[in-house]
Amino acid sequence: AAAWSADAPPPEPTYVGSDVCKACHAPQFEQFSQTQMGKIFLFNARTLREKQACESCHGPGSNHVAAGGGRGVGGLISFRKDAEPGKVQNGACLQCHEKGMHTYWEASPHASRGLTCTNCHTVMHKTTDRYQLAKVDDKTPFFWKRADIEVCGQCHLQRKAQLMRSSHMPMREGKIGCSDCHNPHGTPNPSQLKQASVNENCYTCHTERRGPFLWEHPPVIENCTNCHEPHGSVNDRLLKVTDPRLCTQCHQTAFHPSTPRGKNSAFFFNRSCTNCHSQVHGSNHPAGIFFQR
Amino acid sequence: AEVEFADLVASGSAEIGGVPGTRTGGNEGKSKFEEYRETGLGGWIVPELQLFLGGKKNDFFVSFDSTKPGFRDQNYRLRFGLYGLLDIEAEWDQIPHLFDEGISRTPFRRDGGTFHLDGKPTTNISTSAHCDAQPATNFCHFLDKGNTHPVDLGLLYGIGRFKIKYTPLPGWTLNAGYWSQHVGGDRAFGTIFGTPGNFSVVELPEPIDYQMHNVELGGEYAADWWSVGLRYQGSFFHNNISTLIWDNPLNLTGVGGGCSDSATFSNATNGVDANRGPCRGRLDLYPSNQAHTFTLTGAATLPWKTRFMGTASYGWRLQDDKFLPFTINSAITQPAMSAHSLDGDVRPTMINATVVNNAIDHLNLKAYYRYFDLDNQSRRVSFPDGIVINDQAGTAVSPNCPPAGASCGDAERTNRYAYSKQNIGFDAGYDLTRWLTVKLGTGWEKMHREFREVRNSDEYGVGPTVDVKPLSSLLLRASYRHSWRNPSHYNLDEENIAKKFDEARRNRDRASLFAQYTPWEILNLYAGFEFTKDDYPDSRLGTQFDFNYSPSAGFALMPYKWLKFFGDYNWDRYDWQLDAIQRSAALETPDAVNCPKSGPTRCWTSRGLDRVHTLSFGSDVTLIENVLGFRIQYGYSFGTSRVNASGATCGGCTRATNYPTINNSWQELLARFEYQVMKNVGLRVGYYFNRARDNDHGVDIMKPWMGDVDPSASVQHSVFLGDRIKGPFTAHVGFVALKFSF
Repeated sequence: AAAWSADAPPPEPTYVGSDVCKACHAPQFEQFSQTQMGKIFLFNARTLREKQACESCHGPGSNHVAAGGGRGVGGLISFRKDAEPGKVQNGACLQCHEKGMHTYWEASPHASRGLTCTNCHTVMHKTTDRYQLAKVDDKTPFFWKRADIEVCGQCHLQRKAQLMRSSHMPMREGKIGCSDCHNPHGTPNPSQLKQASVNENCYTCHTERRGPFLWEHPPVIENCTNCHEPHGSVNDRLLKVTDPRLCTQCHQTAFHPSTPRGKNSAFFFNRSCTNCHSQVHGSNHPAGIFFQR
Repeated sequence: AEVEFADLVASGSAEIGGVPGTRTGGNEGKSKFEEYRETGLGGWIVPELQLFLGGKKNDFFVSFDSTKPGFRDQNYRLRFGLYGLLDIEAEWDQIPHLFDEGISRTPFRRDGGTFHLDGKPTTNISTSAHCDAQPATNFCHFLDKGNTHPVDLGLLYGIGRFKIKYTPLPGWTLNAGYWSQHVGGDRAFGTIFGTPGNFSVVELPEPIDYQMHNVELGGEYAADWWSVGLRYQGSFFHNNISTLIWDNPLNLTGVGGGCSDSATFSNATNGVDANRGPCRGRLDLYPSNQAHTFTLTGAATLPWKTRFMGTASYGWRLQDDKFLPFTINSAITQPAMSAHSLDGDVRPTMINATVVNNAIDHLNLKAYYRYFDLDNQSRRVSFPDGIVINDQAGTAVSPNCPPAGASCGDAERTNRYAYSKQNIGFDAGYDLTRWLTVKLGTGWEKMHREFREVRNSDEYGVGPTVDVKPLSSLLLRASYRHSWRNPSHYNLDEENIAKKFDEARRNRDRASLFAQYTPWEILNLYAGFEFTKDDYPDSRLGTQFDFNYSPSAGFALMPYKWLKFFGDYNWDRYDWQLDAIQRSAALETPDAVNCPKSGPTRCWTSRGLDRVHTLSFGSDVTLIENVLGFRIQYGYSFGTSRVNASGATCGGCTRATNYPTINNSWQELLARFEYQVMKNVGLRVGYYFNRARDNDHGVDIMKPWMGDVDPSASVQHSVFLGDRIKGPFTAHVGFVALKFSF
């Protein structure tokens, strides 16, 4: 490898091969070789980019080698915090990961706020069972559905707190994760949801509520979050507002819907309005116009 | 550590342990304690299993993971493949959802979706007096005298997933997946006879037996500067119990064949009463349905540092279950229907085009258009003779009838509710310096609805975003957006004079702040603040406003390599107000009562105030490096939900009063030692404390059955399961586990 003088521009770097990297970075090399990406790049490469292995992401290393190594020396992308602009770091990942669930990355809120892939993912050593999620600390769980709450919760503090509420989805139990509903890499949908609408997202598991029904409840078919707070609530059934007030917000017809029932009223206790209107998500019964059948 | 044999390399770990402990609060507490989990209290548990097998050539892999095998929340996953070429994954996952165990009781015997009563009381269903003051022959005492049996309420989700990802050539990716979900169990479900004035709930343990099959097929091709992908998703839902039939306990003419239907539901308060409607009720549960969606996604990198991303999807939601007859009541003539199934056909369409441009240094531009359409092409079913509700005569309704039991005979016809949304937006972000980025975003949403009060509305939004990173140790993010929604016309229905919050004119303000400060590597401080406020300035009745703000703060401190502290706190507040008017007239305008500005004796106001404190903190201590560690962590969430109300002071009105405050709390404490006994053997010894407490008047006053549900009402006679009475619990759980790694 040639050296260059301080007043001359460094020569265009060239690829030196991962064996050269390994000579100095043996521990990192060993750790990387245990990851799925390492297995592909180091042992099963099919494309030129994969064959470039370490230099595929860090860039060609000849200048780094020529300078005798050192942090950030030789124009390598170090992926260290603030070492290079986020777009440069992400550009290395997007060489391969700009399709599938990453197609909309460039348009995502996370990209526009300057987040880097390495804010949430670790590349150089094996972390979670899937998705190589970054460890928030050394106790971050191995199973991704438990780990991604910690990763997302680093910034989404309110959401993380909501999961602790009495009425909640099975997230703190590790049965579903944030990315079961959201794609943090960007989507064409609101709130980075994976499906085309809030309801389509909910129907993924709650298929029975999909209908269509003979008698539809219009705010239900438009948006489940008109009534529910999916991240957690102090009210039962993830309701945003205590029943029967939730229903009274819209229903002020004559007699019982507009009467401010007291605390011992059958219109208040137990399941409140849905004591009777139990088919509130829609009814397919000819007599179900009021969602009682 | 790895084990090599033949041409294989194996690694993994297995943990086995015991879970001694106690839970106080009886069965009442179990439903919350094990809501989505099974703790294995007092038994043995294998918390985690991991096995990895690979070739020495690093060409293939097989991994098997499991959590809590043998438990109701068990999970197994097998994954294998050839690196970079083939990835196959099979998973079995179970999620229990426990509502209660050992609390609910019902007088019914269940056979599939049919509920039978073996006997009924013979005299006197109800009077205005409370059950305790009733004669022994009363209905509520009938339920009290060993005529009920326990029923456990809970669901179990069994989920099987199978996925294949095949990459035959570097540019090609093919995906196929199958996902099955079965939901089985029982949950509480309200059924009713009579109109609300005759309030007679019969709560049943609704049998759930859902089966869902999902299929997904997709392919994607990616070249250097463009990619295109096509995906099909099919979803098939089948409800194995789609009809609920139950004996009417209020019709005292007999059981089974000895019972005779009555066309009317009488309000009589004393004596044996045959006029208690039909012998049985019948209800249609969720119908089987299916959905199909095709999605085409493409992206291209264009000149001038421009990237285009687009998606188009089209789908069908179909449902054609045969309708049940109007009523099971033989004493009533079935009204006519124009069809015997819905031929339900809803077609969601989504089209998106997004362009991002970075042609000018430091300037990031984004423009997008999105169209979502929920086109309802279901059959419109008409009922020329009106509708019979709740299996009683005299309750036929249609939109033009007075709602209180008039049989007007006017035609009723179902509506094809549908909507579409179009969104156009433009964002411009500029990196003023390397540490300061500002962005301005604008957006317009045009919404069109069919058959609702607002046909067209426009919502505009604008707001800045600022990201500041003046130091490598300091990060500040702030965003604000103001949006305003204007319906072109709100068609206020005189039958329902409140403006609905999802359609009414709305002004919205949203703000978000996030700050992170890491002055030294050993200390990380962070804080956040979320704020949303919605105002409904044109809504004289209905929701007036709601707002939420939620500050958070946290830290991680590591004064020594062997010692770490961490903590988080969040306070969340959600307030809302609605204005209402107590009504007896079926048709009325808000102007008629000039509510609420003057003379508001029938008007009332209700305010909701939800507050939640969430706190967690803990410490990690390495007592002996690589040998002995200790973790302690505590989590606490305390929420209150208060609903106040005032007004409705007119003569004959029910005065608006406050509801007792709901509060619930959740505490967890975990203390755990981890001792590395040998290189491949670790020991975990710990203690877990969990306490939950709920105070909810609407639940706490429930009994397993309630003859009289409202002492102030004249005729109240309902049967409840009692599942809502869950009560507090306290659990002390120990655990000892050995983990073997190889």
